[in-house]
Amino acid sequence: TQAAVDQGMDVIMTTGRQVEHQGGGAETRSNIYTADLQPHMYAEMTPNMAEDLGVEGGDLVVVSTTDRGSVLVKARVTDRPADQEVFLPYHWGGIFQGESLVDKYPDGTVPYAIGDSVNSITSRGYDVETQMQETKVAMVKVQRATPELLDELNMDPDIEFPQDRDNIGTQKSFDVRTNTTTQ
Amino acid sequence: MSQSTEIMSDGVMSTGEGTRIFPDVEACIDCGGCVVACKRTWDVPRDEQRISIATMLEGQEAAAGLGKSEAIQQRESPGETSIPMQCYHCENAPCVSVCPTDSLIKTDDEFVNVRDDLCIGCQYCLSACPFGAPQFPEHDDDVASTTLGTGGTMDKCTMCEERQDVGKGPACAEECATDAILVGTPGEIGDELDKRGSGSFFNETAMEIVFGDDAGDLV
Repeated sequence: TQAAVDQGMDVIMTTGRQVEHQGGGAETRSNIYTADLQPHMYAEMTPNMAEDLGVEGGDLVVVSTTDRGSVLVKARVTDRPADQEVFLPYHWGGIFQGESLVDKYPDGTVPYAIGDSVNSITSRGYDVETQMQETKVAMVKVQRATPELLDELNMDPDIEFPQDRDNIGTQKSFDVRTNTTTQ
Repeated sequence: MSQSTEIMSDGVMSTGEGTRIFPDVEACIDCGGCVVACKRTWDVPRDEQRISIATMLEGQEAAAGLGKSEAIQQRESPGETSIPMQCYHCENAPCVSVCPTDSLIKTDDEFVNVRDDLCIGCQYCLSACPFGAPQFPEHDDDVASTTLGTGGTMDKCTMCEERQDVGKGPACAEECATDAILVGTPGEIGDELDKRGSGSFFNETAMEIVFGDDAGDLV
């Protein structure tokens, strides 16, 4: 852990579920109703962290680990986490570490909503008895997705989200500071 | 053994004449299952809704030691709260009172029903409803619609009357994983909320609109 802190990993990332989605999300992101209710992959952070990073809810941020790469996700600003923690849901696919995989889907099978996969950056540890992998937590660094950073990480600066193109889930609020009641 | 008093009942307790639909805010987890069930059952388009979950005070903690219903009555913070909002088929329905063409009626089963062929889209019901239930899917934001009040035909929750006719509960309540949408007589709903240590999230005025003389049983 000290080694991770030395590399600037100063945030605890936990991952988990969203009530609207199931498993890897292949089904619920391909269903127009559930995709509409929960349209984006995000990193949930407090207003304090968002202010430090200089991002608004809905802006793209990069979440990086020591040696397992980085994911490109939207910022979701709420009061739920602690200031030194981010929460990322794990139901997402279709983008892999900042690069869209839309071209690789057979025709007509691209989900309504795609997002980066957080399980690609969680800890490499696993349980020696059961071989169950540790996909729950990691020490991470969260940064605003600047063009320079995306270029450095070989991420696509013009990444297209089909859900944004098709106006899916536009009612969803990503910043608690601009909305008191959400749907 | 008086075990039955300890157990949460299903959301749908009884259906048909005189039953009402009401949210338990302690139970709702904002999963959207009711929204999806409604849209799937009635082919409601993605960007329209007959039921929608409103979430307030997102990420906030509640005042210590208080349930949501207690907190709101004592003017303390209830913390993050989600309410499935829909037509509650009110006893004293304000929409029925204001409807100039009697398109909105209380049916024999005491459900509030909109008769599509009489609705002129004046949107009076939208102003009258305390819960924001009436929807106007055909409404345009152009000048003619706004100034003349031609909103197309009003659309709202039907209480799944056709499902109830064959002994099923409303789709939203049947689907709800946490039984947060209660369907039953006002007495049954009041007893169930009591049993759960929950209560109403609406003020007295709203409760009298929804339940009329039975409102006293629920607060």
